[in-house]
Amino acid sequence: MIFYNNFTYICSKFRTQSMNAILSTGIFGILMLLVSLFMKNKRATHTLALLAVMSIGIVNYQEMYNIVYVSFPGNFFEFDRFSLYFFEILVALAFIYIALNTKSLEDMNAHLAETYSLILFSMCGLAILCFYNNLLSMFLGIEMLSLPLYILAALDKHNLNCIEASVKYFLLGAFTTGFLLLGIAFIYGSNGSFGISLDPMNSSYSFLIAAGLLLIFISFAFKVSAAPFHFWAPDVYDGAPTVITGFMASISKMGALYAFIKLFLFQSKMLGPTFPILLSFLIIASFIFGNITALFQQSIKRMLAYSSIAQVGFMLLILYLNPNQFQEPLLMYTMAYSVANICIFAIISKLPNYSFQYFNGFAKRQPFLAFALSLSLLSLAGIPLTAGFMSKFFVLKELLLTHVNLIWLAIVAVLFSVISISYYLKLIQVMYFKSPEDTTTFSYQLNLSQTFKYLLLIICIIIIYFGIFPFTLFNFYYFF
Amino acid sequence: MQQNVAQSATNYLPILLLIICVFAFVGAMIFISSILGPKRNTADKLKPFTSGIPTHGDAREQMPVKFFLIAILFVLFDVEVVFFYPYAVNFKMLGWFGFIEVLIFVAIFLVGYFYIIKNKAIEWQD
Repeated sequence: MIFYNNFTYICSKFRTQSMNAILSTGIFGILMLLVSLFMKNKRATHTLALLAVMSIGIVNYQEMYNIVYVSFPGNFFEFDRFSLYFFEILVALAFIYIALNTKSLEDMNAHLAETYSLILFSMCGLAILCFYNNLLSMFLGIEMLSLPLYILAALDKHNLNCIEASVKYFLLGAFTTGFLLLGIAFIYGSNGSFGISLDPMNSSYSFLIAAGLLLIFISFAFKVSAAPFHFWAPDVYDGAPTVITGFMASISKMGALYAFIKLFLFQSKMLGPTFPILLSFLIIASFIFGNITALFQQSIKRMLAYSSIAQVGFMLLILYLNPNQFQEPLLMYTMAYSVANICIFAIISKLPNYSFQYFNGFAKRQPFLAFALSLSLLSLAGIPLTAGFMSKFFVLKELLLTHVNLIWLAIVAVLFSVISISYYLKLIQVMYFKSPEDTTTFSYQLNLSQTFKYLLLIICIIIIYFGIFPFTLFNFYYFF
Repeated sequence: MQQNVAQSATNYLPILLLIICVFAFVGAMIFISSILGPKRNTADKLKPFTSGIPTHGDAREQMPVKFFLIAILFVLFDVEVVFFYPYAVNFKMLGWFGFIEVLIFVAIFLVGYFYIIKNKAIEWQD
């Protein structure tokens, strides 16, 4: 009896937590696994996956208004308003992603329902990463995000490149997981708890906290593929099936980035004055390696992989901001970057090859696809009137409002994004102003449904709309 | 608080000493026996020993993936049982809440078990 009272006491100490989003993603993942056994109809499977993602969105939305289905005691998770809203955006992006890529996912391999269930499992990891309040739940989230991705990278299992990409990703990922665990162990050793509010006054081993944070920093930099730890990204993005690359490069990356920001925005003081220097090193390295290498790529997929490394450099600028002002740039960047990448990879996954030669005169063959591709590329480059411009604008605006002395970093960022325009425009130039060298490329008929084109149109509208009215994205967060 | 933390770190000192002693002892034993031991090498003695069976071929042979599958599934369901031990220790304290949690845990594993049975992962014949 005394044990029971003790337990209820422990429960009463913590706020009860509702876990609508985390539970529903997990349950739907398991359901999709069961569905794979009984349902052979592919159309029904697509519909079910879309319904699942939609109901995750609805359940998460209800949680913002305190409608809760199951609640648990504990302080593993923190469900603040921004995390809920951020996850809602990720779910919306996942919905667009699945709706766009149904056909490509179906063509890729026979296990359609399993693919969906793996995507849902990794979204469960994303949910945990959005809401974590504890180093243990953070670790759980990162592993749940990456383990399904290792499998998804090898989906096309008869393709050697694909297997190579998956093995590389798995080995390097497992290695950095070791770094992460060692870092967590150091912090636990000095603080005696897994909580993420680290207080150096409370502990006699503050150097251990710094060492632990540094190790966690390295593993997170690996997960978001920031520059000195980026070597896996081009190979994995290139080798993995294009549909899956679209997921890795957009949604899962932004989830990992939010987890990164959530920990280091509040705890970077433990690393002392070295942290800004460390961060600027990471950012400038990302700019240099990403942008300069992307200039010389022959394959579109590799070019996009390097460009995503360069974009991560820009996103990491958010880590310089104060805890009360990182929301707007992060939301805008997530939206702009993910939507553009989802669009680009969805189009590319329909094409037979990814060399620049294939895109010669692409605008004449597929005018609408070429338009959507150019718009997304311009958004990634940050041309005004697209969402990408607004995302970069908000990051630099908030950066200069907080740290005027960091104006050199802002100038470096702008200069490198000027360089980035050259490789984005190279693809557009090839599509619009070059004529195809041989006619054999015409023989391949693209199999595009009408729905695909309508969805691309919606994406184009989203990109332009948020480029003109960026505040609609924040209005919901602030006022509703 | 500060003292607790300090104690928790110093509590591990005996383990560290034990580790050092173990490595020193093992190292010393191997070193001494390699110096003092008699050496009479014959051709049979220098052969690799595998349970008395003559060795042949390369270790990197292809073998049916089913062994691997069975091994993985065994590890999965074995680990599941390990999770019952902490539950058994805290059985009374957790009460009905813990019971339902464990039921959910088992249900998730049963879904997986059902999945592998249906996919014929543990059927030995093709």
